[in-house]
Amino acid sequence: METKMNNNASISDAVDGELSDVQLDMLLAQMRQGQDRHLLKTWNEYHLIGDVLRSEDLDVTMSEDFSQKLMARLESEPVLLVPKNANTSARLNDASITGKSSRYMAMTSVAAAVMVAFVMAPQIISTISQTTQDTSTVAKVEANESFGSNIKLASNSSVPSSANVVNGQSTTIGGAKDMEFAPKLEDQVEMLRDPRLDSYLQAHQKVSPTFESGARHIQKANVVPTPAEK
Amino acid sequence: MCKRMAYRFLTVVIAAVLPFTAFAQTHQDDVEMGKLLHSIQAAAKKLSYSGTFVYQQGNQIRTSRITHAFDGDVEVEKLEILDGKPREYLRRNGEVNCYLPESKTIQVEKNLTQEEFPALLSENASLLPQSYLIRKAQMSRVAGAECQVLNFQPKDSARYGFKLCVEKNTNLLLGIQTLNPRQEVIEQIAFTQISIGEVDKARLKPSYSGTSTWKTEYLTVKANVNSGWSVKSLPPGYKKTLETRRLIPMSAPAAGTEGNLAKSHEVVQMMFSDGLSTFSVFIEPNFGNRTEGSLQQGAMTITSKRLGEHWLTVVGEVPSTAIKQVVSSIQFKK
Repeated sequence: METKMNNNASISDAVDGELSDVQLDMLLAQMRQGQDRHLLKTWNEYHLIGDVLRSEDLDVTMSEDFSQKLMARLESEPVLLVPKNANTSARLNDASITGKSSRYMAMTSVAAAVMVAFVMAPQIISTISQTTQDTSTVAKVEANESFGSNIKLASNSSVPSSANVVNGQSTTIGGAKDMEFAPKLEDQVEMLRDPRLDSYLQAHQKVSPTFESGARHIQKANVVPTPAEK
Repeated sequence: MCKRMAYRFLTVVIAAVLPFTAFAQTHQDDVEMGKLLHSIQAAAKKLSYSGTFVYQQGNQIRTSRITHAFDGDVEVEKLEILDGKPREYLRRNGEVNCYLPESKTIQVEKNLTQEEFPALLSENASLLPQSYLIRKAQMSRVAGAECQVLNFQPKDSARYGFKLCVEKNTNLLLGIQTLNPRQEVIEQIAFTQISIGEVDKARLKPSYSGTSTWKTEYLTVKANVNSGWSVKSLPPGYKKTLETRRLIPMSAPAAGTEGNLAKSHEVVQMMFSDGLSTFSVFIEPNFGNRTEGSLQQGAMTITSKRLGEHWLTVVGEVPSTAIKQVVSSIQFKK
């Protein structure tokens, strides 16, 4: 009876993330051996209690074979073929010392992801409308009859070295005319403000125009949904 | 009656002979096209020339001045970026020095096989007919020089179409347009002024004085590495042309960084090419808060994605479907 009480207490601690690694390993080993079916039941009950305390909507009894089905699906998941990054795993270990805070962090990061999705949505819509405008300019630039007939910038002798020259001729370059007057889309998707992007661009190709001054010139941005949003 | 018989006979004869002549024609064309592609590739490296070219990508343009010399052994090239923050590249065979006057920095890269305009066709140029239907079109003119137009029609959706214009006598590439499936020009590079032949050797030196006191940054950590990373479902026709461990400098002209040299970080870079279209894959440990996403400018697509504890960035002038396929099939296998 006393051991049972002890076990219940340690399960409670485990659910709260207050067990040391060694204690947790022992408890999990006991549960895995399945000698005491009571352990697993208590584990599930404690979680249910915790869930209901947080919200009554979470008062759901799982079907009998829920765990088995979940394990089967986990088994069939593709394996992530990625090496461990030494530094981040070290940081994770540090965080796991305070179990509760790491759980809290996990929850806030989910909340952050949701917020990012929310914040981005209207901007994506605005960039899409921007894109349709831009493609129409591209269509105007189209040149099928002969090569480069639209490159009116060609000045055979001099080099357009100052911005004024470029602006002076800008009406003839079509797509490039709003180079200096591009609408300010300052509140673009966060990734686009990352100054590192231009460095990648240059590492790939030196003569490529940069995404200079952040997000001002971006035509189209779409966000790859993160797993949390799916 | 007799007339009709004759017609029928004639039709049969034509039908029987046509495929053979057509075959002979295409085979001969293939050989000729292969030679032409090879000479376009060689011309950009083995000729001496200087000129100015404009790169238009989406709604942006960039002007650059190039001076290229080849003395039978060593290829020396100076590339000056004329728009935005001043920057110039000096290349000697596979080694590139980038001069950044604002931060008084020289960035050194080694063992580059990187292809830049007008040397756009890579060593894989002989593979181009596998991925594109290549046709000679009309003659045209670029920067005052007569040139032959070549149409590259992609055979699948893993690459864009191209329209090249190569100089009539030397086969130097004078201009290239990138076309989307609707045949619209989405990106183009073309000389606006070019002179082929002798080059003033004095112009192949850095334009800045006192560069001996500038600080030097070595961007190539280790060339020709086998990092263990691979792209499992590579779009057809693409071959790896480069795999290197390098630094991504933070001193590039970008918003908010006033030319200050922020911290550089190390990445694995792999480059893939089908002979004309190229893309790069960058892999690094994932630190800090970065947002996944992708963006497009002209033909250029850039996508970032987290994979486990790593951060992937794919950059290239290829359709976003191909970029997506690449970024989602990167894996580590040692």
